[in-house]
Amino acid sequence: MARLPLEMINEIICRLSVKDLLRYRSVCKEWCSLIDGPDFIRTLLGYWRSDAAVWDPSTRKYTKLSFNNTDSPYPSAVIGFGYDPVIDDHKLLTSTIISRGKDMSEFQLYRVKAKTWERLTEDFSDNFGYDDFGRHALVSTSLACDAKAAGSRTWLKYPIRFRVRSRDLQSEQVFVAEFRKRTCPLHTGGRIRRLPLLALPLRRTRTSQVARSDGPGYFVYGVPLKYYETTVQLLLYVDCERLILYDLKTKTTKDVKIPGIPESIGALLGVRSLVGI
Amino acid sequence: MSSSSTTTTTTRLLMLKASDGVTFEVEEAVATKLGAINNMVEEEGSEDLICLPNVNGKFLGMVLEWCKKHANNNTNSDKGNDEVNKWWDKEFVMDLDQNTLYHLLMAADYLSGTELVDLLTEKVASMIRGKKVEEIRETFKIKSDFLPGQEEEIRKKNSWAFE
Repeated sequence: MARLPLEMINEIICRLSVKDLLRYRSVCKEWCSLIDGPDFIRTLLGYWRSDAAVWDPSTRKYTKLSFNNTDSPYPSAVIGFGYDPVIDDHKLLTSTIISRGKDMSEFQLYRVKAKTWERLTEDFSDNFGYDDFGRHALVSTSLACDAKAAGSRTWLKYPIRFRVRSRDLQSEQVFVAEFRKRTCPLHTGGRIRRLPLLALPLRRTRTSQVARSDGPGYFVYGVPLKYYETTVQLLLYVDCERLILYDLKTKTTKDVKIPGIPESIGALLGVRSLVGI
Repeated sequence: MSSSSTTTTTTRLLMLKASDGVTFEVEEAVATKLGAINNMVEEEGSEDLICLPNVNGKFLGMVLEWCKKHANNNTNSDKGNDEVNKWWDKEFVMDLDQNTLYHLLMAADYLSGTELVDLLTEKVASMIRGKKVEEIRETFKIKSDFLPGQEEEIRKKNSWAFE
């Protein structure tokens, strides 16, 4: 087989067992850093679907978890994993698509120490941030959604709707943002569609479309990070490279410069902690 | 004989042109199983002829064959369809040689055929499970670029994986 691009290797080897992966670290430098990389571990959590495992890196031992049976023909994916200090246990959150057409998923929560599964109620997805990609990663006690993989084209190849509901824990400000990512994959000739973004404060008082002009605020893909209620502004991480502040009243954008920030950043969209579920 | 106004069920046909000039006439419902085509079709004012300069006719044909099967199986909404699809997928990848697999994978990725990429990457994964490091290098045409001693060090770290 001729040499495959690294993204593809990534897709392939994340289906392998831990033992294979540890062995294949010695294939070459590229594979080694790929397998050791933080992004890979995240992908791995998403790919162990019919069988998930919790691996303790210090003891090199892993415990296999069998997913609860669902009627769905689609495999389950792990979308969150983290420690809940309140009950002193790790929680694993899985999502299983029930109907692709109706955009319905079922969510289940596993408590590692207690070894219990719990099917979450239907309103879970309304009250909890999640995305359709299964790219969540639970950082500490809060669920974060992986907004991008730096320089990766894998993001662009999924022509799927992306929906985020998020809550700012500190101020209890709430925003619900929804947008359709409608880009043509860049490698098919670079035709890019503009992104309509809908930002709705929860009380449904306002519906706005963001950055639909070709002005300086033009962007292809944006992740809403925070909604500032008092100033009616939305902080967006756009095109996997910069931060902008979008004024919902004037419909203008402003570049946000943070001194000392590294050139290559990846924004993580933090949503509610898993403590509540 | 006028043919334009007689048919009531009109399925739009798309013409897909591969890098080597080979063209395929495909129903829109079939071709849009590929994310890239779907995006192009959704764009206003898109034309019926779509040029795909990065895919050669042989592999485009195979990708479309897969799309057709899946589109057909999905139209009858029986419960047994997933079984049929699974069985058919198995047949589809069973005898693929490495070279074909490689080109198909590249074509499917280029065309954003997510499900097909899934199927093919799983096939490659099944071929490399439980192999020796040397066999992996051979399969993917990789040369070890570790400095002397480095590889041994990595192996030592997880020696249990080599047992």
